[in-house]
Amino acid sequence: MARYIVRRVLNYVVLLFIACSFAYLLAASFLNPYSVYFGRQPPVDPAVIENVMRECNLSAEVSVWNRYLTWLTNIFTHWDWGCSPLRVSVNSDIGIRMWVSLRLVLIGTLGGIVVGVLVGAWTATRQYRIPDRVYTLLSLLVICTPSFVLGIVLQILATKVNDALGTRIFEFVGEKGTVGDYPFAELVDRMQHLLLPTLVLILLTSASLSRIQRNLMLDSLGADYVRTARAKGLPKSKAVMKHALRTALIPTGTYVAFTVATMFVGAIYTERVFSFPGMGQYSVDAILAMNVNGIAATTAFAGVCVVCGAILSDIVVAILDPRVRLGR
Amino acid sequence: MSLLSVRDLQVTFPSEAGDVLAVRGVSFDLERGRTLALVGESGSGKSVTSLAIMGLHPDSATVSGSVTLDGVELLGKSDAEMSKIRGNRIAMVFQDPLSALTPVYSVGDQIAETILIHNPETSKRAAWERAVELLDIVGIPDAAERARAFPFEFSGGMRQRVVIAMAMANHPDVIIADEPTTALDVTIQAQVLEVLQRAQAETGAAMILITHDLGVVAGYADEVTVMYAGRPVEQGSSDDIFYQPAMPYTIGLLGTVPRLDHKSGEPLPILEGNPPDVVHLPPGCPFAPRCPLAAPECHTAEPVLRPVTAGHSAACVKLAEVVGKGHSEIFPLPALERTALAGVPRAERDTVLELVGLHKHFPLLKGALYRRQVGVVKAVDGIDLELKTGETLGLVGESGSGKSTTLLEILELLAPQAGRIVVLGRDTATLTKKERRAMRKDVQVVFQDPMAAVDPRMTVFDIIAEPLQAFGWKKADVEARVYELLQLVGLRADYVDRFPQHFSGGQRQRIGIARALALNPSILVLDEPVSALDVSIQAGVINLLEALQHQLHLSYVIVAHDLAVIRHISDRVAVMYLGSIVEVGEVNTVYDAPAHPYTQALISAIPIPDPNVEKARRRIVLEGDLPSPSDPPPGCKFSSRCPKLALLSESQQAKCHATLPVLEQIGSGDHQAACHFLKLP
Repeated sequence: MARYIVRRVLNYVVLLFIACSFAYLLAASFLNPYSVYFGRQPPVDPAVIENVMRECNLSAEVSVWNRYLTWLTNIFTHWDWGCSPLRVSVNSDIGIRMWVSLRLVLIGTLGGIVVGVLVGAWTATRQYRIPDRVYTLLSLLVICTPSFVLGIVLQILATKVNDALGTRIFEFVGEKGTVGDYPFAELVDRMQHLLLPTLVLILLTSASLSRIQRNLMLDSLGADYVRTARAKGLPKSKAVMKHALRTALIPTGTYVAFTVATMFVGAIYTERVFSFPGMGQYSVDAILAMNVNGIAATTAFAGVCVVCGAILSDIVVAILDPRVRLGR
Repeated sequence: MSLLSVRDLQVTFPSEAGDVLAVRGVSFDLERGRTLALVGESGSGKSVTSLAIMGLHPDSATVSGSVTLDGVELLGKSDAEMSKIRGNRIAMVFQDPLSALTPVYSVGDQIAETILIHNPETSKRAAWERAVELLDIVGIPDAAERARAFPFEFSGGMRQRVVIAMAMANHPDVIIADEPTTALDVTIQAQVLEVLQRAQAETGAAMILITHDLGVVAGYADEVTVMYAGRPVEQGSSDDIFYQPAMPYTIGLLGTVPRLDHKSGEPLPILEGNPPDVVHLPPGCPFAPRCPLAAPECHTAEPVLRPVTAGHSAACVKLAEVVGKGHSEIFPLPALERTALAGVPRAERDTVLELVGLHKHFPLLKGALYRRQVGVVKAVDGIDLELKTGETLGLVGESGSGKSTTLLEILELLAPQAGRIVVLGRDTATLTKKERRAMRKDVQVVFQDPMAAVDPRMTVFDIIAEPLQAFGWKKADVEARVYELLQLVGLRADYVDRFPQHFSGGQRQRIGIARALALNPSILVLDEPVSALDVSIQAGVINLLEALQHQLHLSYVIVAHDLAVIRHISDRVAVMYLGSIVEVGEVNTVYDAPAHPYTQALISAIPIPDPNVEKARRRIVLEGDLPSPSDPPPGCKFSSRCPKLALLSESQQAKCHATLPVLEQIGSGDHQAACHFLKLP
């Protein structure tokens, strides 16, 4: 088992390195950081611009390959991911936003996975009955609603609730607001701000995951081994929980890892709608701001997320499925 | 009072077409230690009956009637109440051992679970020990070690043993075995049936054996219930059913089975038509549309079971007329036109296909990023075969012996890894791309599963016309040819614009055969052409293949696991074991006097549908499974399972373990076998 995980991690590290290098080379070859200074009033002296570019390892006069090597050296020797064309350090930018994103996306997707799996598995055992039909309709509704619409609709509803109750239970602008004066006030404030965007993510993740889990569960409910389990004398509910659900979770394990990964980039709309300064927003801003180093760093971050997700799913799958654990 | 008593059991499923009357009034009594066989074709309601007894029918089904166990009514019990009975008093063995075990738990855990469910006071440790003991009883070697293994680490036969161990864990009163050996090789079938008998002896349980294999019935059943369209049509002791069948359907079924123990040379007796659709049953006897004796009164009311003799009853209006008649007196024997070729001795016929030293080795790879070779699977390891015009060559052997790979190698028409394939006098290695394409017309294939072998979204016309269009036939010619082919395979011309889903398995297989014949091939490769079909349907397809052979001078290479079918249809037979041919010769010679111990075991493993013969006969049961083709035993590949080996002296055994025997001539014909000690009895 340990060997299996180590081997997978080594594979991923190689992949990650290749992906980041490609991202850097692509961004460095096609983006023009000089354009950030174009049209400034008063105009900036080209020599000054060139100095800044040299300092930030963005100069067009240095070959892309040499810039790439410098970039790599800085990361490996000083853990320095460079700076934007405006000389803002990428490290400090990402250092803040990373945690904002992790808080939001991690809680959101983990919650979504749990809800999705449960709803999916449960509706499968109720196939074609009323609860199944209702959940199918609701999840299809969520799936075909764009996430920003969903966010805004929830904000409107939250406002109504706040108005009706006369207090502000739901907060939805930014990551934190005015902090009250009582124990754990700051924590409560943050939770209030997290509530709605997390809810959006839970809805989005669970809606599509519940469809997948429902189908997987239907397959395994009809499987011969569930019938065998019942023939042994397990009541239906126990046979379902012990024999059907466990096998139906194996493919979910794989799928979930990549959902988590894409959510870090896919949460852009949610972050925008709720003014959350997270990684999704930063990645879009970095492209607009010709921030070559920022793009490469965002890619690396997303890559690490994918790898963590993949390792996690490998471990989960290995625990669930002896065929993987025993290497066949 | 009987142990298990079923009275007027009815099971109905709702469906979009209307109510499916799956079981319509089954009644029987079963005593401790006795075995009742439920026989019938697919859709006759055998499995539904057993599931209803277990209370495992789908929730949508309506069940009525009565099922009592020791006088206690089971129908109407809640799931919780039935759970106390299932696995404890009534246990079940299912058809497909590959999917019957949960893949993610070890087999020991799964058996122990059965014990713990019904004996919560038992410690986990004691349950585990009992599981190991059970595995040992059902013949799993190193049971203590293997109990920790997962289902995927076992072969099909071994998994079925595990399922049987599970079924006998709580000393049940009744064991229901639903087609327990259908998915297994004949050699493994013999082992598993033996284990089932051991389980029955050990627990003293009554057994319901559901099967379509009349040979298995003959060997194991005390009583038989024949089912047709959801109803028992004949009930009696095994001897009654086999020696004095009183219902035309039973007679028809018994007559259509090809027999392993004799070769008639005549076409197989057939049972025309298909079982009825149980959604819209016409009034009267459901078998009447297929019954040659049907009279007007058969179509008015459904006959009930009437006694023939004590303990033997049949549902037929014309009982008095039927009793004592043989198959040929009721059913018309199909005529077979012989071709001019029939009189030509084999040596004078042209050779259409020749395999010389054919090899096909697959590399065994490992690793995800850097794949490296860790071994070789010798799927086909140097075989020689010869096929003459108008001849049928049967290939037999267990799964994994290389039969299908051989067929694929022939169909590829490429240069083999080693050896030669000569088709119609041309070495396939020397063919140009264009010639190879042209040669595809001469070598065509019919597949095993008629459900999967035709595209469900194409009409019959498109399916049969596809090869013609691929070779650029003109539109008008294609149309004429398609109608000609439909007639040839016995399908109606107005079927052309229907889709495959409208046809039964037998009809679909005919569509597949028509497609294979479209381009006038000289060689037809048949991969298990009838194994997915019911017995009564199978006979019709076999007869069709024989008739076509005579009519069109076709040569067949056929793979089938049913040795009786091979005996019936083939002229010559080659027995394969782990990629090599161990015995080859004229089919009657090989079957009547098998020389190789493997052939002897294979033939002996086939049950014969005749209770006296079957129960009296001693069979050779092979130990264990086929070894992995990537790691065959040294010397003679069969040495690890050879029953003859134990009879040899040490020096003789050393020879078996050291050198691979080659094919040797036996007698004066072309009978050959590869064994160092053929002369020994």
